[in-house]
Amino acid sequence: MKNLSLTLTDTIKTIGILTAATLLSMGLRALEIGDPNVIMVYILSVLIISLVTRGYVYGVVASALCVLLFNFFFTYPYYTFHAIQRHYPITFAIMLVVAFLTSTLTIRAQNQLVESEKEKMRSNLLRAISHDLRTPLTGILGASSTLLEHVDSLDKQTQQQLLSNIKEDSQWLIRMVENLLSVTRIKEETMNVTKTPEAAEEIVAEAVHRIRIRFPEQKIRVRVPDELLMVPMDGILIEQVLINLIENAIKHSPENTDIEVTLKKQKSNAVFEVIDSGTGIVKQDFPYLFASYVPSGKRSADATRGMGIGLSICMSIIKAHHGTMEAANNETGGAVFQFTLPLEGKEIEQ
Amino acid sequence: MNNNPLILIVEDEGGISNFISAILESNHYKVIKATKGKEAIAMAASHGPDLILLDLGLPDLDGLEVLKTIRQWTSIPIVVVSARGHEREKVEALDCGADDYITKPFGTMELLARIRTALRHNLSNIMNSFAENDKVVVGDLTIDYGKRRVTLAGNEVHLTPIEYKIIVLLAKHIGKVLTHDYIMKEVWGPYTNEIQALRVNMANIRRKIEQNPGEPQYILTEVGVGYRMVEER
Repeated sequence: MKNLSLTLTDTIKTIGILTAATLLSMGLRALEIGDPNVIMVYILSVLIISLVTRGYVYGVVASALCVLLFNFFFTYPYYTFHAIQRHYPITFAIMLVVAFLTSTLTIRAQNQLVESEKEKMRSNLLRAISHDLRTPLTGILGASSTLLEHVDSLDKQTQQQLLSNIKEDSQWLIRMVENLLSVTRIKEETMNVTKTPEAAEEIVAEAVHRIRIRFPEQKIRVRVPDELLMVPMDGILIEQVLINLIENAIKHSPENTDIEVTLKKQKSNAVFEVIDSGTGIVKQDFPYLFASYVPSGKRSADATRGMGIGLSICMSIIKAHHGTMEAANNETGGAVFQFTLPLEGKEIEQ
Repeated sequence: MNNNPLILIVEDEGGISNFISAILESNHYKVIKATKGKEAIAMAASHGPDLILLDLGLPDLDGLEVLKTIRQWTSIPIVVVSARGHEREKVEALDCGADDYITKPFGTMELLARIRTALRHNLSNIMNSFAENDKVVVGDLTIDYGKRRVTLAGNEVHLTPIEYKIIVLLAKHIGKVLTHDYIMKEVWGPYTNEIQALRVNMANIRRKIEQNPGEPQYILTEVGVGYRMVEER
């Protein structure tokens, strides 16, 4: 549970705020402003602590500490935990309850904010996907009904054309759906994946093999190191990432140019690279390259449909593996997409 | 015409079984169809098909149950149809006696190639009982069990005993995918988990027989399932 985690910065914040509240209350007492204001100052401090820290722990602890501090510094006899006056126990109890409720409510409100943020992201993604799905579906529906209704009046060539359009659109849809399905393999709660040690070269080889089936004409150079790199990963997902990147490279480079797929070891990481010699990445696309939703008008004119989602899915897959991913333009022209995955042994098993 | 192989398609989606039967019929196979598991078992028994194409997602029975039931009385080739991402299901099907699998969505070429391989396998199994084939040749690679020698374009490849065992196992089942578990059991014996060792050995084999281990020509990886030695180059 994340809610129970303790961090050093949050602890320092809590102590700092409580100290400040105590000093302020001492100031108030020096000015002979009474107990009720001191209580208010402490309750305010609990509220602030709940706002700036994560999880329930700090709010609850701060509530209890406030009562103790109030008791220690501001009730007669001072600087002891004794309370002589009869109404103090009731004051303490009410103060504790109020402080406690304040902290829980604040944290709940904060959580709801995070939830609605997630909700917004989800609906943005859904909107982008629906748009991307509708385009090829419209194409398929149009082409197939044309064929069914006008089969006699269409010449052979047009029929062929319509049929191959249907094929292309459905292939595109299948790839899209496969991408979306792969996201469901990432566990929502922890944003983690089930990892098993895989030979990185096998994953590269398989991805290239699949691409070759679809693009038999494409020249692809593959380089793997002499050393066998074992990487903990969800092999299917990383293969999907490589397929997406290679496909993207093919789409953005002229015919008869090579695409290079390399695997190498860098310190304690396996580094995968897909290099093309195409047009490279347009500058205005960089900020949105891995975003699932591009604000309208911000996308460059030649952006290929749906690739935004493909890349953003790659990014979430790599993040779920605790790896990094980046893109750059080559000096010689063309784009380089690179991602790294931690090698075996570096990570602590969960 | 009547000697053409009879194929039983078990698939509950009409659209898919329609296109599969269209493809198979235009390639001169005879086709019968079942949409449910129980029906499939009955038809497998009564028609005695030469090959069964079995979709694992059926409405009435679990596809694996159908597979196990049919396997109780016959060893005819069964090719399982399964979706991408369901690797565990594929491994289970292979362990339950499926001969091969094909991943949805598949192309027609791929489907026909798988069916050809599976049918040939059955044929070569019968042949094997007559005379043990003692040699497998794929491209430049020759694996000679009789002489216990592996050569690449005429040059001897020096393999360790474990590497030799693995390559012979794959060659004896050429064209067929072997699961990691099956290979480990055959090479290291039961009750072992030598998956790491298998991967290291495979990497070494590839460095000895493949021009580029990043683009293997002879032994392909099926991620999450196992290895397959290619038959048609």
